[in-house]
Amino acid sequence: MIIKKIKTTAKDLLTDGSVSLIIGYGINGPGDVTPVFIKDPDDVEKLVWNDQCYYNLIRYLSDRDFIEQNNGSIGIIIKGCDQKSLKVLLSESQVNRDKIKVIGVTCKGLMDSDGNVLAKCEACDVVYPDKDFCDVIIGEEVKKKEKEKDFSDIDEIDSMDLPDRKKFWDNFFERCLRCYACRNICPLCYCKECIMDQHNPQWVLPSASVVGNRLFHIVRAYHLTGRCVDCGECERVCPIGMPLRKINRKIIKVVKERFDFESGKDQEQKSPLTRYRENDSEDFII
Amino acid sequence: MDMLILNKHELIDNIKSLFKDYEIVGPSQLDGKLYFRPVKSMDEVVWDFVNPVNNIKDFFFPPSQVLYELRQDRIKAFEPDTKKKRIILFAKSCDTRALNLLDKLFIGDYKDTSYTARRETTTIIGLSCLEPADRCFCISLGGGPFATKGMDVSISPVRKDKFLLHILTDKGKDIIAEQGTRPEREELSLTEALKQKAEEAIKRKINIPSDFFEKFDSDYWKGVSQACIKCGICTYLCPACHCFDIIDEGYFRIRCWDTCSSDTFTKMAAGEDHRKQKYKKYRQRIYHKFQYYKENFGEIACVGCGRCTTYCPVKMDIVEIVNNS
Amino acid sequence: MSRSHFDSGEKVKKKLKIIGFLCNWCSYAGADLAGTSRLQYPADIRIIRVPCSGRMNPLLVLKCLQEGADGVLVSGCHPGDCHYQEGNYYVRRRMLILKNLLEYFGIDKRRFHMSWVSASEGAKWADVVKKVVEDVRDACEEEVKTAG
Ligand code: SF4
Ligand code: SF4
Ligand code: SF4
Ligand code: FES
Repeated sequence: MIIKKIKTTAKDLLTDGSVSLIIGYGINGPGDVTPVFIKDPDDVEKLVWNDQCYYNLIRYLSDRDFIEQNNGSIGIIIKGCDQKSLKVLLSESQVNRDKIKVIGVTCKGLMDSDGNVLAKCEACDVVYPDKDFCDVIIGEEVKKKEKEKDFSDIDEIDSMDLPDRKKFWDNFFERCLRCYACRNICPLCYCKECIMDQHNPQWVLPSASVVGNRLFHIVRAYHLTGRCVDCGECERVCPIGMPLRKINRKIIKVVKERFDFESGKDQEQKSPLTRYRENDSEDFII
Repeated sequence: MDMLILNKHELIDNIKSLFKDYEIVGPSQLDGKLYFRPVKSMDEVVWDFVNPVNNIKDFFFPPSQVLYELRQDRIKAFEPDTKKKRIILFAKSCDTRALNLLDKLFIGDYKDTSYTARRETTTIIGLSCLEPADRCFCISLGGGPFATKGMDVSISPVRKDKFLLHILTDKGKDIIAEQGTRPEREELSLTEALKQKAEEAIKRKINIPSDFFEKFDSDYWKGVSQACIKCGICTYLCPACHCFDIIDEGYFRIRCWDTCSSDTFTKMAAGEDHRKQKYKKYRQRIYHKFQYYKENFGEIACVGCGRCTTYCPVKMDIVEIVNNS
Repeated sequence: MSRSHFDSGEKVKKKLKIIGFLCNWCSYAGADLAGTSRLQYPADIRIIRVPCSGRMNPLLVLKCLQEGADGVLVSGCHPGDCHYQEGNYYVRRRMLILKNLLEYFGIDKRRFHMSWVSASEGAKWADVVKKVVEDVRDACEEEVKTAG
């Protein structure tokens, strides 16, 4: 049983003092899965594992305040897709690998509240976290599915006429609340001070209006160029249902086609905007 | 005031006749989510629903609103366009009760002109909840699925396709035509039975501990707020939250919603932030609702709609957190 | 009420507002040469000098569009000629992503251009500006038309 193993592993790590905190999945009052933070070995009973564990817990590792408050070693439960964001953070020197214990769990794909398999899970190719990357692996080894990346949803938007495309997006920009949940849930949005919060100079109009919202979304997505690993958390949390993955995946597609790069594969790799090839295509330059 | 019994089609016809003179806002589907938004016809309006994403405060206190335009030679103030009156259809009792709470602030010692103007030109038709959502906890805060506070007209079902209308104010009287029948005792008792059933369906309760205020300095808040990502969904979707910020965008001065959970909320010009840590931000939200608002205005600023729990990205549950404090 | 002119909405003005970000070492000198050799080109462009095209933050482009510019041009040294060796290689990648994103959100790609102009290419500079102005004007006109 996976959950039993998660609990014993967590208990062992906490009792022998190799970590002082475990970040995992638990249940709240009304029965929803929620992140839990466990310090006491006796509390490991709170941990759960089921098809609702969609949170990407890596988010807490890139939160400076969180790390400041919990400065001991941290044990963290991850799925294959979460591992990609961790690798990006490592490649950007944002996480001290020596201070975390990674507990990788094999995943069978997650469901939304209506019982449908999440879109990101259908396209998933990392069900089994890397053996040589994780400190502990729980669950049977599953053969990786080699999948061609499917960008048909992006092509669909690309093939729209310009005014239609604009309408498609503005329909959402009209409703975006600027709650910044999409930014705050993202494990890779770790800037100490976000450009959206700066008022002098004021780069992006801060009120919720189509113009400012459009710019916000261009900038948010742009800052994730070559970094976003498509964990889908932003889209999941958005209260107004903005199709944020469609934005992120557009860039993923361009980066793949033009720079032949995929993020989250390897913790040594450098992001595509921090390097170049002399013969990069320049068909757009006059 | 008056009570009427109407068939569904009579009710629909009555509302249809209002489209000419009023802007009608109602619960309606958009991209797979339910919102209160302006509708063109009754076909767009959803009848059976639990709380939509947004709530009716948006129509009195919008997410962002231009106050005035400043140029070298002139200042132009913007008042909300209230020439066309508005009707909000099928508001739930939690939302309307929250509006009463906001009134205390916006039409209190200081009168907010645009809020007041919108309030005066809007008529609210409420709809009772037959099947409350499993996140609702309005009863423990003095509301209830059939409560009518803050509505101008309330609609409660009697049986399928038959409704009991309470006309509660003069504004309500203006929009409901003289028609239908007076309720019989039997019909009243049918509604009463539905009411009881709905009330029983609400299992969640908020119990504010008696030593709630003394817990202010407790480490409890550090623990429970750990998962929070400081996004602000809970405050933006809350019908009773009302904090705002005044910002400048070029020539325009704008009032827009703000949230106590954001990093910039308490940041001072010199960079000082007296509520820097996450737990302080989260604690502020809870104490503002359950302590300060009560001290200032006599009522708790939470109505139990459950939106914050439903939409919180990490599913922080306000009921559990307050009850266990 | 439109608070910004990201989408210029109203009638197309006779004179456009196009912002040119020119690298100090090549394009700026190229534009200078065009001037001293009395070449004619449309006056719809306003030039901002940057130390190297590699200094271009995409935000600068976006901010221009947000504040009401009709179009933006970024111009630097030819690849291999950058005064700082590699600035223009980096910016080439950056601007490619930006251009793709703008288009994806329904902003006409003709509003944003990038070019290489060296210090000796005064004539090329004049041609580039002509083309950019033409493109931006087309884009504006089309937008007004489709907006009805
Ligand atoms: S994307 Fe893959 S690893 Fe991630 S939750 Fe879905 S199935 Fe699991
Ligand atoms: S989560 Fe959704 S509503 Fe909130 S800022 Fe992001 S896109 Fe806008
Ligand atoms: S919605 Fe949840 S995560 Fe966001 S600020 Fe509120 S409590 Fe925190
Ligand atoms: S100096 Fe001209 S592009 Fe770098």
